[in-house]
Amino acid sequence: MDAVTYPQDKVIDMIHRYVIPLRIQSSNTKYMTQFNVKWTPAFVFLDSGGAENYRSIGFLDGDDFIALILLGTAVTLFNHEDYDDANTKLNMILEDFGSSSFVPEAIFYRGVARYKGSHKPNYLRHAYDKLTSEYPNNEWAKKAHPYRLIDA
Amino acid sequence: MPINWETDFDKALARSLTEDKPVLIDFFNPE
Repeated sequence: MDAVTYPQDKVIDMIHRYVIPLRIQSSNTKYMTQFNVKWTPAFVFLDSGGAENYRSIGFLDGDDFIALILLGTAVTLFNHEDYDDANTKLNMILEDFGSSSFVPEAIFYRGVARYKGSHKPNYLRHAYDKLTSEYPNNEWAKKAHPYRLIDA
Repeated sequence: MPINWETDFDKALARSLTEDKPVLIDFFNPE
């Protein structure tokens, strides 16, 4: 991460724009234990109360790391019922980082956030349709499988 | 400009509250 991802200006900008970055060494047993981290790099998103909202394990290149920043922020907003802002962040992943490995998960969460914000179930069906047409073998397409029963 | 990492957990949480942003912890092995 230090050699490839963190030196990139676009990564630095996104970090400072959307999150409070906190670095903890693997030798810090207090926090490694508290968050049950067994391997690094590990990225954990916390809300202001210290509750974990999202995590990812393993190296990420610049675009995938930016997509992670947006996804982790969006899931944190979603968990706090701020569906409009979550939707905005998820759209940024789909529009600006469409080749990221986090896109299928972003499609899933966008459908759910739109449904929760509007109570219109067709958003879930739209997520299912998009996932099965563009990422049919992805785990998030399988997780959306029940939404096939909803009218489009 | 390099990344302005916090290293203090409680200070990061306090900033999270005042700046209305989540904390992103990077657990890393410097070796």
